[in-house]
Amino acid sequence: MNAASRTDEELMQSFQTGDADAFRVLFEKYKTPIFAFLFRRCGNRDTASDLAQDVFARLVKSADSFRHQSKFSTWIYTIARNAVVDNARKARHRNHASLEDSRDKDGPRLGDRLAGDSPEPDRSVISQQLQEDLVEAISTLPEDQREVFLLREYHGMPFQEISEVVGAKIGTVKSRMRYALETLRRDLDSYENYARTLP
Amino acid sequence: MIHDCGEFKDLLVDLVYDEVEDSVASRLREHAASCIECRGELESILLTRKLASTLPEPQLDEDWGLSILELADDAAARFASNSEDRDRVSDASFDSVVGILDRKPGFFESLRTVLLRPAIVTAAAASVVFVVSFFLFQNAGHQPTSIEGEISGAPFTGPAYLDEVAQSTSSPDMTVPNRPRRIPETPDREETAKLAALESAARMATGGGGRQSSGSRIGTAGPTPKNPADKFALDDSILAKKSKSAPFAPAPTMPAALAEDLDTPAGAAAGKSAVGTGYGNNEAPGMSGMAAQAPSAGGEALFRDGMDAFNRGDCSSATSALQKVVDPPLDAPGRIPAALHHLGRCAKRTGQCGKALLNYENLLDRYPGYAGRFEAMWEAVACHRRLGHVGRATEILEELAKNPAWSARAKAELRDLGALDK
Repeated sequence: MNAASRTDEELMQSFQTGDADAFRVLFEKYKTPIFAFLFRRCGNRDTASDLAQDVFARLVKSADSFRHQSKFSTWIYTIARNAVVDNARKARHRNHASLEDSRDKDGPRLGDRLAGDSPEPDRSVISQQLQEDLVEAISTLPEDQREVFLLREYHGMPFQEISEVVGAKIGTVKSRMRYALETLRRDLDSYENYARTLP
Repeated sequence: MIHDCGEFKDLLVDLVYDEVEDSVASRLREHAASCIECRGELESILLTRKLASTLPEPQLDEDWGLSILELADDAAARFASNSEDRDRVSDASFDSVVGILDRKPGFFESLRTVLLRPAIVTAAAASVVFVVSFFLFQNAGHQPTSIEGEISGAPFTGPAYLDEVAQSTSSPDMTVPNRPRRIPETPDREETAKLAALESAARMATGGGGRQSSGSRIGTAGPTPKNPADKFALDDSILAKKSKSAPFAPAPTMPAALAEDLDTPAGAAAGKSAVGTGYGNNEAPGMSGMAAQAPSAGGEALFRDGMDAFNRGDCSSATSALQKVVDPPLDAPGRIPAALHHLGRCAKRTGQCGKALLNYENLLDRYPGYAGRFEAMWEAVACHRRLGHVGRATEILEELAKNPAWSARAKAELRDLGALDK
């Protein structure tokens, strides 16, 4: 069967029996989304890159423990989520600078980096400003709301799956999403007219 | 139709993310059409989603994660081997059970016949006598040739090695090639060094020869092959060195001329001096002198332990193990670049930017062909920036900017440093 037409779980099963190519397919499919999730959660490119490496390394090492009782995506995002939570805890424990501070020390802010990463010559000034404000608004959401918002909005994960990843009831997850959307709506209120012009 | 605004608000999030059934969705839309407040709320959330969708997804570099794929290849080989073992064991069990059941009616009858048949009893007795006499010979210090050769598939030079080699042929590890036996590093190294010294002395006394064993030693000092069966071969080569038995030794993997040089005292001295003074080439700095005498399994095991610790987030243990990989005597020269890279990462993670830079710069200077070079350069830039080394950071970024995959990010960093205009 063509690797591309197989489900994630089938690919994982193949990997568990020694098919390295099956893992490559999964790796190519998930590396960017996982990195993006981590980057938007922690706000620092280097940290996100390191954490993404850790996530995939953990995935490889514990591949034989994947029992197909949950979806593969749930499993990998749970690992990613735990990695970022652990990292934040360690950072606090070491009494290091906060994530926001390290973001500034490491280089340009998240918004600056995103703008630099995706150069589009015809992007308007409003669009650039919007991206910066959007990043700022997302990064100031409470952590529990932010992770739910990111998983649902940018990773298309259903609420039921999110509840498994974050270990909360589905009703709680929906409440967090609701609060997150309301906060963002308030923070981005000035872009309402611009949003109406978007396709 | 839904008349209760509270119910509408409860399901609003499900509606905007299409997580309600069609019938419910249509009832909610009907309600929104008739309720200004709920319609306004629905619209504003949809507009917020539109704005959120304008955020681009951050991208990784093309060559990101090479080490992960390497790790996955190793794991896949292990899984494949385990799977084969399981299949083999389950097939064998199945066959034996089915076989007994199939033969059950006449099984005991045949057994009785066999036991009572005098010729077979005689043969069994002869076998016992044969085995007993074999062990008597062995204990008397006899140097067996043919019988041991049949058992192990190779001739032996002395009874001291018989148990070890016989054990190796019956060890479960022999059927699991991706799990080579862990051989304690220090005793092995010492023993191997002693054997090598004896071997060298014998060669000098006999006026040469022995190129094959020298080649084999050098061969095992090279990068560990990916094929698990080859790892298994490395273990065999270690055994072969102990038993000084040629059939176990793999074919020489270095040019004959160089091997010949190293066979001479001058060549060996040159090899040692190469280790002491630095590396003559980028790919195999440990392929000479002392490194040639050490089994690669030690360095390889240390590298893997280091990587395991790194992946666990245990930078202290990772540093301890990886440092041994890069320190002479070099057991696994092929792993040095990756070890340096991860030593840098460990130091960076623990906030020791100066120490991290030592490893990064060492790596970049000595291994220009290293696959993760650009990642290392990027990480070195972060360290330089933290230490305020704007000049060096700029130099590295300018080099990175020449690479199409890294150009955009490097230029963004350069802009941030205010160096692009200069």
